[in-house]
Amino acid sequence: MNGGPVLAVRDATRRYASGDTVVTALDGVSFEVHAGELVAVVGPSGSGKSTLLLIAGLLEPPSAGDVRFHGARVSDPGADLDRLRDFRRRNIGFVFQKANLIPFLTAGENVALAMEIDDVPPRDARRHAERLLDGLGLGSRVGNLPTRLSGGEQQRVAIARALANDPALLLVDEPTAALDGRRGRQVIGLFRRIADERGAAIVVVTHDLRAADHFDRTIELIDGRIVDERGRGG
Amino acid sequence: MNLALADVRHGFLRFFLTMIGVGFLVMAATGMIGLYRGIVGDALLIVDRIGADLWVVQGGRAGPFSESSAISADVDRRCAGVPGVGSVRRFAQISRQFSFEGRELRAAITGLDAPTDRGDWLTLASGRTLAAGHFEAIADESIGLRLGDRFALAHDDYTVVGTTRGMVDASGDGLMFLTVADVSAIARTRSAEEILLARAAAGATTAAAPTGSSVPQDGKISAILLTLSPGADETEVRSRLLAWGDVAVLSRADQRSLLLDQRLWRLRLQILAFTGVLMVVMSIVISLIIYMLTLEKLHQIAMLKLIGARNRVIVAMILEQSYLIGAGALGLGLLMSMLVFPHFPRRVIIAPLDFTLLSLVVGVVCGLAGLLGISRALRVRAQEVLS
Ligand SMILES: Nc1ncnc2c1ncn2[C@@H]1O[C@H](COP(=O)(O)OP(=O)(O)OP(=O)(O)O)[C@@H](O)[C@H]1O
Ligand SMILES: [Mg+2]
Repeated sequence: MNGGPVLAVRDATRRYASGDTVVTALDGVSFEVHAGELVAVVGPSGSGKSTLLLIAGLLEPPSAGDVRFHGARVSDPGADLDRLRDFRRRNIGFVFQKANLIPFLTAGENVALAMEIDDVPPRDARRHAERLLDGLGLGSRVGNLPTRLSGGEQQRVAIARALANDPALLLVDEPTAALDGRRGRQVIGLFRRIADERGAAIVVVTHDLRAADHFDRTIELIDGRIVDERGRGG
Repeated sequence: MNLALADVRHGFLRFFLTMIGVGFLVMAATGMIGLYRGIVGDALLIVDRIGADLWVVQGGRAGPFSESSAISADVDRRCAGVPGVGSVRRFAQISRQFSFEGRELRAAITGLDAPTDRGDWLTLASGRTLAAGHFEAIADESIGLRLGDRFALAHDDYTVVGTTRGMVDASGDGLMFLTVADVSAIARTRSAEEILLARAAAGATTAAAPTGSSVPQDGKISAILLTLSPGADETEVRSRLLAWGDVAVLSRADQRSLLLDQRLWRLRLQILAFTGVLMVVMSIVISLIIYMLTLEKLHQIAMLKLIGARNRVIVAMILEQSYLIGAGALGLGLLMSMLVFPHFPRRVIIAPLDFTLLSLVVGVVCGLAGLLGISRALRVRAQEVLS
């Protein structure tokens, strides 16, 4: 790995046509995230935070600008994102407010699935999944179906799944919205640990700045523009 | 891990009920096809088993199954004199209703020309073939008589000396075999009512024969069954018989085609049409079920795409589930068919080839339905997970 940023978004603009009007959800946003960095994206509702994650996560192409990974351009307005699925599988992990676990698979299977679809042999996938869940304090929950887990536990299974293929970048949207304050702080603390121990670059969209001290940087969006970018404690 | 199986295991009861539902459709289709086979098989039973090369029947008639036929009493002796004729048997068949132990029973009473033909070509379920010249019967179990039963028919009492299983005529009446002499006797007896009506008719018109038929009715023999001696020329025998001018000659193939293409034609067409309708219904139901199962999983499918699953994973999940339902339905349908149809009043033949073809149809339907689901699934965008 070189010393450059894992993720670099350059002048990203995203417009949505809704009826006759055009909504500019993102308006020339540029930022970088380095390995081991935990970055918060904050801003009022509708300011474009989720849109930013979709574009950084290669789920939507920008209307203008581009997205680079380790310096290589992977997404621009002409990109065919369906063909970036392989890239996504190996390099990006996603965690959302809702855990979105597959309801008919156990916690262990949900995590192992992420590896099996990347051609990891089932036994290895299974073992690694158990290790990951164990590391997140869910060692005894491996065989449980999602409906048997609490919201926080489901969220941690989703985090384990996102980590399964050891991605360089983790994109997280409102992970604490459904959790109470203490658990919310714990989850942010978990991301801090993941960034430190695995060297992953992590972008967390959040409303909740009670855990602000965990973040290396905070980016504030308003109306699709970055209005403020602060370092830790700044 | 197998996603399709995991889903089935998770919602097993639901899948099982779905399979039972589709299984009932499979069973209905199996039943329709089996009913068709049964009707054809029943209709051809006598023609195929009785072992006659030629049927000599009333002139100008396609008897004795498609049209009624009555021939004069001496035709059998005349036939025996024709070179190339091996064996000669008289044949008669009449439908009768009679009461036994307070029940009304129906039988297609068929004459065996004893002692030449004692019924040795029948597959007996119990008892023996006809031994005496009179008052013995071999009855099919479907009539409702059992071995040893004594019942009254016309003016005489008959004893069941043997039984068969599943031998019925084209309309489903169980076959009962008596000597041809007994059948003639039964045919000749008419109710008092019939006699009165016949007299009235004779009085009203100036018709010569009291029965209203120009053909001698004394024997009530409807056909003569011939076998050809080895090396005999069928065309020659045929032309000699036809030269008499009062008979028609039908081969076994003629009889088969008369039964299938004339007498049962509409019924066959009807059953086949129903089978077609059923297949269409089955296809629509299977397609809908599989499509709904896919729609239900769109969120999970979007999630799979989000975490980068290849299309192959999604396609396999949908197709495997589709085929699981198809295979389960076929298995359950076959099982239910085998349990239920033997209790149906008419024979339902579950032929391995027919069921294989039905399975192929179900397979194709499952495949197409799966493709329909797949085409929808592949249009899902990963970001729909977030909505
Ligand atoms: N698919 C879309 N079509 C049309 N407009 C959209 C679409 N997605 C987002 N928008 C609009 O873009 C703007 C930014 O939306 P976005 O979801 O990024 O906001 P957000 O900051 O995540 O808000 P929240 O905090 O409520 O989640 C909003 O005005 C939204 O209505
Ligand atoms: Mg949002």
